[in-house]
Amino acid sequence: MRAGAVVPLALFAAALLLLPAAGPVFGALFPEVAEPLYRREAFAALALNHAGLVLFSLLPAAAIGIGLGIAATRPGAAETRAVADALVGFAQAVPPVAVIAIAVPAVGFGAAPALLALVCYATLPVLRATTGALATVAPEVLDAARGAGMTPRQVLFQVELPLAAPPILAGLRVAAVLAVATAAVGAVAGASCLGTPIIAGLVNGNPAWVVQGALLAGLMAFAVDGLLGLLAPGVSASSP
Amino acid sequence: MIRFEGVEKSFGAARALDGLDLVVPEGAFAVLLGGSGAGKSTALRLVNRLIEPDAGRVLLRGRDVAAEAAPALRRRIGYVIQGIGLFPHWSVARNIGAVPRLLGWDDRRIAARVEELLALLRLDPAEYRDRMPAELSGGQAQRVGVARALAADPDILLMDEPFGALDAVTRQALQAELRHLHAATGKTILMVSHDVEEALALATRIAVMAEGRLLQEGSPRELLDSPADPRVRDLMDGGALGMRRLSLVPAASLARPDGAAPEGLPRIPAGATARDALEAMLAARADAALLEDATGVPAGVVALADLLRA
Amino acid sequence: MAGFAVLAPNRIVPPRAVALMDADAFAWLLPAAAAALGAAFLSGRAAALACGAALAGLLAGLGATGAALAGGSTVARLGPAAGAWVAAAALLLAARLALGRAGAGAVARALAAAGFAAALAALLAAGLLDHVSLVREAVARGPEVRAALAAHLGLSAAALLPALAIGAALGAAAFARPGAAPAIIGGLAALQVIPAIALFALLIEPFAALSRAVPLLREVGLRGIGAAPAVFGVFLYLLLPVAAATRAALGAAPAAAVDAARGMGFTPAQALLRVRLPLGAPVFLGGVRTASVQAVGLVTLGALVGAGGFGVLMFQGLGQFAPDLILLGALPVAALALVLDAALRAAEEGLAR
Repeated sequence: MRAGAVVPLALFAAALLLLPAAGPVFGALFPEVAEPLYRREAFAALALNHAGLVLFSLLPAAAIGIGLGIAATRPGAAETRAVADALVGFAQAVPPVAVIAIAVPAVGFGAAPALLALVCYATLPVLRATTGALATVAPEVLDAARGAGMTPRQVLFQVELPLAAPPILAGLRVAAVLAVATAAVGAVAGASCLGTPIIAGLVNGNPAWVVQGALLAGLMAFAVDGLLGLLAPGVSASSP
Repeated sequence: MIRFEGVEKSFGAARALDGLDLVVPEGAFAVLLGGSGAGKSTALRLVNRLIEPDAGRVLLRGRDVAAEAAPALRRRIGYVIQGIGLFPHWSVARNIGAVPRLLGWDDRRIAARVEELLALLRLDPAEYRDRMPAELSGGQAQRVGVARALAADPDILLMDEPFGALDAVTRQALQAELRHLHAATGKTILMVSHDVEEALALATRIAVMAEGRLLQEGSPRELLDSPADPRVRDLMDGGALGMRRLSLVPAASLARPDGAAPEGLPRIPAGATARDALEAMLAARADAALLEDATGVPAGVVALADLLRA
Repeated sequence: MAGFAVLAPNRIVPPRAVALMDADAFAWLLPAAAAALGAAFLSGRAAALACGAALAGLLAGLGATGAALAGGSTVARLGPAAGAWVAAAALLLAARLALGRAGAGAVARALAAAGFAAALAALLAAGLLDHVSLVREAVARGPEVRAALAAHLGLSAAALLPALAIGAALGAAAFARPGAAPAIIGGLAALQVIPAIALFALLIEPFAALSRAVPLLREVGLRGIGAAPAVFGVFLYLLLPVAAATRAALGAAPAAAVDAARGMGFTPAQALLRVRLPLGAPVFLGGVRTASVQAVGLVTLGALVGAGGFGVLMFQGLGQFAPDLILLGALPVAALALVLDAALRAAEEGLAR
């Protein structure tokens, strides 16, 4: 379990450290390219931006997803539950890249459309995990909790949320991995992130840059998956 | 004392309670008996306000339960349900201490109470205190469930088919302990059951319900001897009316002094019922049984003919 | 862009915001708003109808406003802005909720969506939407849009069909050999962690090398940049939903039912054909639905590595900051995904019955 978290993280860190010095290697691999190493921005800065996009979308997504999930599972909240289900249904069908693109006319280029799409998409797995997990708390346990004289708040915080925590954390892990991937797509709308060298490479016909960006983005996804695996062991973000 | 006054309750189009009037005397062990859909559980859950009535009211010692905030009310009423409902993420000790903790007891007092209750329900505190619910057998878990309900020393205990999911042997053992518990503490117990044998074995008062109404309320003997409704008669008879009557009568009440009892009679213990006496005679192919006193000394003889007086 | 809508004299000049007050669209919008408000008090079915009518009214209002503001100009265009977007999204959500309240299943929802699409087509045919910027753009780029649609569907199918065959085989293998299941499903799941844009990009070089090494492949059009890395990448992503659904579908029959079938003397093949497959079909179809919807979305990204489809329009639009072009690429993708999702859900519901 521990190795599953440490190895991808170490690989990502190593790639981040070694890539800036790997110009000659890429020069040899891609002899036809004039500028074999992406130098417009430091890889570390791009990775930091990428992580920032993920973090600043994940926090509101977790708050919205868990909050809406709790609201949707309270007794008498059938309407809220219906809204949540409909939103999840719509959003799951529409691909993230379409949301990013549609957001551009509304909020302009840069990090904003990526953040908007990221929050939308990271919210979904958390919301689905929260409603699902809270719905699976055994009814007799809830009955016993209320029968013991717990207030609704005590039932939620002492019984429901502790019991639902593992699936919710697993949902958060899915959300994080999804956010890493969606953030990379954000580069098409001008967000500065690990997708930027990929797009720049594609636009300028520079396969070396493409490989550099793709390598870092892929390794970062594995690193985040592994790290959050420590929080939610047992359920992989990528498990079906 | 628990009093239901003209209580009505519907769930959507389904009428669960259709004007229930019932009094459970202080210190009684009352069983709400009936088939599924009779409204027994609904009636029980009205007492600790897990359900609110559409009409009518429920009184505890003359006070409407609606007059008190539901959580506070529930903390002074013990509640045991089928399927146990132990909190799976808490240890046995934490489960038992749930209500005392809600009431703000200090840790030492809670720990002492947990020990006391585990011992009362014959679970070794050292062995079971720190176990998780998943590590208990069904019978052990239900003992913990009863201990949890008793934790804050409530004077009323509500039990919703508490032994429904247990095997026959475990069920009988727990029934015996519940009988002792009731005798020892004098708590008012209101229990829901669909099992006539269970009701006869435990209850001091039985209320037979059907279709949201009370059919008859009385002592087990009254219900056996003079059912007020054909449905009550069918339920109480069940093809074993005679045996059920015998099971309500202590063998000691039928015994004659131990004159010159013949050798080789089967022996029955002091607390045996007339049914136990018959069973002993049939098993030994004898026409009488020797009743012992509490110390095991012969105290009298119950003959086959004596059973007709039961 | 704030405001209710934006007006541009032509495609090049930056648009100016149009407030609700500027537009004499009230004649259209008021009934629409009234219908939406009324929806709260109507039964589910009537409310859904009212919301649909309100949405059509909103669009017609935009069109009429565009026509009025454009005067005689044939190039002036009115685009929806934040106000119109929020209104449209709110009406869509309200319609969906109303359908839910009416107890409409997937089939009824699909029918309702088809009805709305027909109403939209009628509005278009009547020329009511001629001055809406998106319609302007679509008319101007008619051949491109049709080519993008054909390419998008073709690429999606090219990835989906092999993924169905191979994914089903992998899923069946995982079911038949539970020991191998973690390796199979886990391997496919690990692929999902790689961001699509990274995977597509990483596939360019291997395909380029393959094309250089095998002239025959180059002659049939396989190159590093183009459809090949996109289709192969999408194919790889689709394997997991198909394989996982196949495995779940084969195991969907209750153990007791399978046991009973065996006890009654079914051969393993008969048990598979008559018990496992019928009971598992809806589960498998659920996987097909997930895979199809994902295919449509992922193919969009394929435009980045030179594949065709609506992604081309979308990325062109992003490159020129031409909002109408972006929407012309993005909206059909969203619509295509929603239509596929609705249709396959309806099929699933029919099978499960």
